[in-house]
Amino acid sequence: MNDIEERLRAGLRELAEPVDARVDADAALAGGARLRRGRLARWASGGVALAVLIGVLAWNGLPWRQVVAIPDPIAVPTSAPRAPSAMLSFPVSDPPQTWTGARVSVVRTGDRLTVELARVQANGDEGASHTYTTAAGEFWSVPVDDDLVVAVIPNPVVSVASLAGWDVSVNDGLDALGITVVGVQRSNPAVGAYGGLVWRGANFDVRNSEGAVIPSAVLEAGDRSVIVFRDEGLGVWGYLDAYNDVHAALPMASEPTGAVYDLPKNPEGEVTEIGFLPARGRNPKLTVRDGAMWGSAAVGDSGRVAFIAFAVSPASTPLVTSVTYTDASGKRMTYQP
Amino acid sequence: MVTRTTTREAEFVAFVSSSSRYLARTAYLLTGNSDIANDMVQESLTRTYAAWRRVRPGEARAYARRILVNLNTDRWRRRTPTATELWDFADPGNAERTVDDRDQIARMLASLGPQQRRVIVLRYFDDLPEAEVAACLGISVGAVKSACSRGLASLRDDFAPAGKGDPT
Repeated sequence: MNDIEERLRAGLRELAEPVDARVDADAALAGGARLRRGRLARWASGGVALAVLIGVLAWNGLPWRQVVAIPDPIAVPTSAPRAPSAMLSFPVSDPPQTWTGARVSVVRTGDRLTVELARVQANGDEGASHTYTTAAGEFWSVPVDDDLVVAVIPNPVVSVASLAGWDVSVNDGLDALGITVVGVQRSNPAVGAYGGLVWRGANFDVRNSEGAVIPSAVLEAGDRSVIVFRDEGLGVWGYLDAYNDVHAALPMASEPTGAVYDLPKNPEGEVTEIGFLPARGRNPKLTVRDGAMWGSAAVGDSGRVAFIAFAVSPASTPLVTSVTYTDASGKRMTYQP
Repeated sequence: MVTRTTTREAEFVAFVSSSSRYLARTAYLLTGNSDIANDMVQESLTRTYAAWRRVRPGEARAYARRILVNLNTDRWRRRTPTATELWDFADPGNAERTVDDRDQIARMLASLGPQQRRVIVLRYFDDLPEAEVAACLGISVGAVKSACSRGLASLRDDFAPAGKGDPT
């Protein structure tokens, strides 16, 4: 440890030393119990401050939708030790007239999961239930109807992006079951059938709903980092932005090749742009506006290179004013996004 | 059943007693304001108790700290232009160098972006390894290293050389 680090540690301790905690344990007990009891209802109304927000760009380019998710499991009543289980509810935000959501119960027995689904009717009654069994370590999904799909993803799951036109509700509090349960609801009537999911697992692996690892890269500029991915199979590219909890899988036609794509601004007003070099392009050198930082990385084994530019308080945008790279034939090429 | 509930509550109260000051100090360094820090700690403890049945023994403090960091992120997202960097305890003390360092560090923290500041606090106050900071914030280890490097460089420039006389 060097002297600067030593002084930093000591200085932080000195700075914080006079702080006394003024907390009320009884209030935390009562509030925690109340929060637990009321969590499901609060999720249904979308009022949770700490929920993970998953943004999905609407098919027609409408602004980002922020979807509140993560209903907590309600423990299935138990009278004796039993297999890990959970009962979840996925309310439909714009329900058909006859039903308002889906109830999902999951029980794990060894390496098998038993998943029971039932629609919840408008009057609160449950419709006929359907029971499925699946392997705990594999991706699995089932359509509740044309507009709602329930999927089971083996843990670890860090973040989830649905395809454009579909919103995601993520329940990631199921450690005992070793899974994350996801509800995917159509948000745009114009989009086609449900096409799948992309999620980030351990070690920055990005996987698709086939369970396959897809090409991805961690792009870094300064202290800003974003994961980008490409999946030819699903026909999507996208990004996973942990800092803003915004994740998106977008049609390949919108891939910013020869262009830049503006990520939603950070709350602090910081600007981030990403882009891809043309196929087989390499060794990029970006010209950026004053104050911007940039970085690049190969996107797995896709043969593509992506770049990121980031600025804390740019005077103007785009940040990237030109991109020079080596093309497949070895020539240095330049384009202006 | 009553006994189990009482035990759970007692465990949580013991956890509050042993961890709240640590959490308050972390929150203070993240926010620069002791009132906001205490509000955040109260909220994080409430949410920790809501999940108490699935918080593993020995991981409660890390769990509460994670909530604290998320609350701080959420606070930044919803912040108004009004400054909240009050640094209400950064007043003079006894040791001259310590006071200088403390003030420099307060200024350095206030100058950092929220993400970089979280990295510095978790790495150098909470003494978390780089990988754990990265996991807590959902960023890469490289981003942690970069943020630390920038913070240290800033301090290196700002720290007055210890033991030297006044410039002439």
